[in-house]
Amino acid sequence: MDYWWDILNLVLIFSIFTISLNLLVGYAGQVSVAHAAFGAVGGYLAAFLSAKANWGFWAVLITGAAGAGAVGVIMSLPALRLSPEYLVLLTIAVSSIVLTIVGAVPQLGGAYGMVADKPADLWPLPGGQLLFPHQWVVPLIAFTAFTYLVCHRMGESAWGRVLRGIRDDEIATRALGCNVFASKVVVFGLTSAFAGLAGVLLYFYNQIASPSVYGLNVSLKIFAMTIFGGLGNFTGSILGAAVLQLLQPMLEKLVRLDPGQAFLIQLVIYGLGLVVLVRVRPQGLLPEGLSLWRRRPRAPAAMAPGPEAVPRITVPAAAAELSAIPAAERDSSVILKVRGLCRSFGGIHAVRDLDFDLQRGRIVALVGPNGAGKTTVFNLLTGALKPDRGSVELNGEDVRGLPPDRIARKGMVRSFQDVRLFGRMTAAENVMLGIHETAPEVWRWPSGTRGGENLVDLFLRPSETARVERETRARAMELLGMVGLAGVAEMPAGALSFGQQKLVSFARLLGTDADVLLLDEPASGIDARWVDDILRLVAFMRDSGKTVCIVEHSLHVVERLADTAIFMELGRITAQGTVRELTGDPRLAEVYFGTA
Amino acid sequence: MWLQQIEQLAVAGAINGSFYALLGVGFGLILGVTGRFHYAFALVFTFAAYVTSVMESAAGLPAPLAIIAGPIASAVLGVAVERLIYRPLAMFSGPLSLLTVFISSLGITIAGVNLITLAWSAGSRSLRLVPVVPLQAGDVTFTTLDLALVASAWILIAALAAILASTDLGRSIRAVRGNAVLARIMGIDPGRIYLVVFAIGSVLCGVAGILNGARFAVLPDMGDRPVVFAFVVAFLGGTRRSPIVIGFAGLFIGLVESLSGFFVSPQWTSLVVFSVLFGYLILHPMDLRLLRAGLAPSRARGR
Amino acid sequence: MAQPETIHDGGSAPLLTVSGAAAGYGKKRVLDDVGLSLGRGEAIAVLGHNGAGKTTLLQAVFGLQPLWQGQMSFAGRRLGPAHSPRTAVAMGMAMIPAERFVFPDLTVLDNLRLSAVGLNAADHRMILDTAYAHFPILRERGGQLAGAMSGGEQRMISLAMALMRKPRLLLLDEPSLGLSPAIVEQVMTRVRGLVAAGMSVILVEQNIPAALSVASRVYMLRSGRVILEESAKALEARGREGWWDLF
Repeated sequence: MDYWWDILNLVLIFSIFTISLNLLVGYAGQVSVAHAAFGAVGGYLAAFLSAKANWGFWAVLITGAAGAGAVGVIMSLPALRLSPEYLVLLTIAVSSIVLTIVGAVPQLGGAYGMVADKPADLWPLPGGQLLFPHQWVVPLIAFTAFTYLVCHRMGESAWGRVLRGIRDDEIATRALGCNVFASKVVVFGLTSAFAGLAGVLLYFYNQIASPSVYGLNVSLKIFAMTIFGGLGNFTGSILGAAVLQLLQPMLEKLVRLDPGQAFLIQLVIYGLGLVVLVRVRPQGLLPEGLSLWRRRPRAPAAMAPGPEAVPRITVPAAAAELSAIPAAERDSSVILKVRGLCRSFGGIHAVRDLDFDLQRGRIVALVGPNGAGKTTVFNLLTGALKPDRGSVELNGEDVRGLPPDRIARKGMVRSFQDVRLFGRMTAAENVMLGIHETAPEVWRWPSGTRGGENLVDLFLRPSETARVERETRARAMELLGMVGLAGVAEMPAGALSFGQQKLVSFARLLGTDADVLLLDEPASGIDARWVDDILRLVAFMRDSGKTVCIVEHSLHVVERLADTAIFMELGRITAQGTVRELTGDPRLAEVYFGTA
Repeated sequence: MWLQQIEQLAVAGAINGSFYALLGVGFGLILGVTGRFHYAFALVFTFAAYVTSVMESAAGLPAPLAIIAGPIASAVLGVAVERLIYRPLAMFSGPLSLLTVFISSLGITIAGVNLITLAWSAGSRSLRLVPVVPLQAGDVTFTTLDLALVASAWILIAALAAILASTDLGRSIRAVRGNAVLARIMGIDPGRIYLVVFAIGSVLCGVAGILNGARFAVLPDMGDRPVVFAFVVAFLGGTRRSPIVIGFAGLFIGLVESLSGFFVSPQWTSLVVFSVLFGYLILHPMDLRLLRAGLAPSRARGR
Repeated sequence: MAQPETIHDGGSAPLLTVSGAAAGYGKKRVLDDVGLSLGRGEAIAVLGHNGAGKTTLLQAVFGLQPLWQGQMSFAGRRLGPAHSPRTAVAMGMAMIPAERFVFPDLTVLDNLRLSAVGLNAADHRMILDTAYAHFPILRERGGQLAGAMSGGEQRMISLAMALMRKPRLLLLDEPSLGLSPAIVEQVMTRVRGLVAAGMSVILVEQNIPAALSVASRVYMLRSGRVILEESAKALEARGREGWWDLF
């Protein structure tokens, strides 16, 4: 019977590993194979403090988890700029470094590790010393439940939505005003801390901390368990841990293999299983969104074939009032001032001495031949590129050099030529990710967020969090209704047609409440039937007081949409005026169409 | 006195460095041309050593045949992995293919290494390449096996460099590596080139595995550390460069590892190497972005 | 959509026909119901704004891009779903992309030799001689890295690479991109010479005057559709004021 309690205990400990790794890999998309190494940090800290410095169980547990969390934060800093492939490599390097250190430092026992001199003691909580497997069961269930609840709360909140945005498209997430770097650091720190917790428990359970307990293949085993259970599904993580942990006992009992053989065969099985699973069902055993507690509506099987109805765009009453005001009387003050903007790449001037203003309630188009620098201007304005020289004043404030998420928060956002919706999130969630509320109090961390995006609110003020979430969702549905897509709000964005995706992305932009909207080829890539509606939507944006700047290559579209146009050639602005004025200029025609 | 120690360490470093050079060149070729994070390189490494060792002892084959069998087996394995596992997966995963290929690579390695253990037990086997005779040059000592290692490593590296520079195949490989889309436009089949590259890279890997098995022992986990070194050397050398350059990067790593043994005790020297990798990943995101841009055509067409 | 009438020649069958072509990337639709036809020895231009679908059309003809809908046939043979650049080259097409049209890390000679992959030594020499016949200067520059040469020289190399296999159809994607007007003139003169010698050419261009100096007939694409097909002279007659409305 002890045999089965032992298996259950190991399943529970490994569940702590897999649940936390799932938050990192499944939600945030940060693939790490260093998880067991963080366990090593926790386990070795525990071993050292408990055996050599005689600390109590709880003190050692908290220190071990905190220490692992700190190492996780340190590892996350260089990881911030790395693409997924190099991040894995970094985690391999970190794992090797940690294991080499603990295996080499003589005070940590070298290759043999450190043996515990006392068992876990739950005092002052009831339970006493944990000497036998059956005594561990209830405490481990408690620890696992704690891990599950914390990770689940984070994953399913607005904060978790930001993580999923990072997973699906980090650049788009930043462009919507989310502080991607802070989120990454927090998720690395938190998940490493849980791994450290599991590492401490593993030390006390096995009564030894040695490099092989926390080696790279243990990390790979944890990784395999997490993938089996389903990325993005915490219940699945427990299942994955159970299935893989039970493989060996099953092989021993049912197939009657000896333990040595069973051990090897189970490894072969999950190695092959990984290969098969990643090909056949990458989302693992349980798909994201299938939860035992809450049935998230699943997307309909397939969209009905046949010509798709173009959604009706309904302009809300308030905006209709605004557009009734004659153009001359509307607020047309300057909201964006660009002076002397320059940027070169390796000696070639992409953009040179740019001076222009954008007024409220206007649509301006950037036009020019190929390679004139139009997209570079967008990148410079939104902070995706740093200007070499010049100033960008938004609402009187110089935003030059700020990162994209800060500029987005200050009121300047952009759309992308290839839309960049978060394919695995629903249309509603896509729009919700752009909606931010800010809280004035400084002690609510991270500052500048509120509700589910704010960690203090998330854990200490649940009713506030729920309220903010309700309001965010209501606003998102309002915007989706406006673009005529309320009916597909719960569909995964990846299943929508390109035209629908464009509309959702505009709804998402409107949700940011930004004053300046930079639209990159808003009318491209869609059927002719959709173009009219898109143009109406853009006109509505202007009429509600926004400033719109578009890059569009089709002059036909520009003529229908833009109030004025800015002509660029070779990185410089050489003309501004209405489209008629520009097309009437013979010199510009030569530049645009080329000379023989 | 310590000069003698440094000389010995330097020679040891050069010997190890030649081993790392061979690993890095083979791995770098695969990574540079196909963009696959081929962790199963470790399995190919181990498999070659086992095949040769088994052929020698169990099948009683004469040494030269057994020695050739190893790299041939590793070439077959490498090509099979690309054709049967990586390629279908990459076409299926599209932009996520770098990650999914890496994951499947991990899975194959776990499964393969443990299958080897099941077949031939976890105990260490021996592998005889050349009679091991100690040699001396001045104050430094090494063995005939070390000589064989250095010679085979650099001969293979030079051969690869020659193939890349002067043959139709080599030009096609460099074309696919440099501009995969244009190579397709010229009528070159990137898929076929991938298979050839995996074959060549696996042969180099297999030879390294046999040399390692002869120097130390043939064990199931013998590929764990070498594959990390392969990554390090390939990245340091730059996967678009000539094999000779990557080879020198390997030599550099070998020397750094060995000479750091002058300052710290042996078990810390691998830490130095991993720290080099770590440092490189932190300090050169620019280069990594360029490398990504170079790998992008492979991803864009989902191969 | 009815196939446009070929204007140049009432007699022989067209070399290339495309009808009802639709294509895109991911879900984004870039070509929508496009058709064209090209006669033997004819040069046509495909014009339009950036992003109108010109490059995608060229890539579809060459087999780099699969069609969502529509048909193509070349020299009387249907181009099926298995159409790839390899089959295109085997059928006698050659393409020069708009950017990255040489291998910068390889020498000029190595670049040229890539067109000779698979040939025996005698044929290898022969097609290299073809390249040198077109561009004698390449013989001296053989050992230089292609990446170190100027834009115009790289264009020359790319043309040589395409011409070495004596193609029937040459697909040129924005040959004037990034070149000074003088060099553009040189390139266009070359192409005119090839057309005069019987080569069929599809020229994608943003530079209309340059395209009009080569093509006898033009197709105008806008937002993925063909909005106009007429003779080069007719387009020229519209004048620049008239061209604005077409973009």
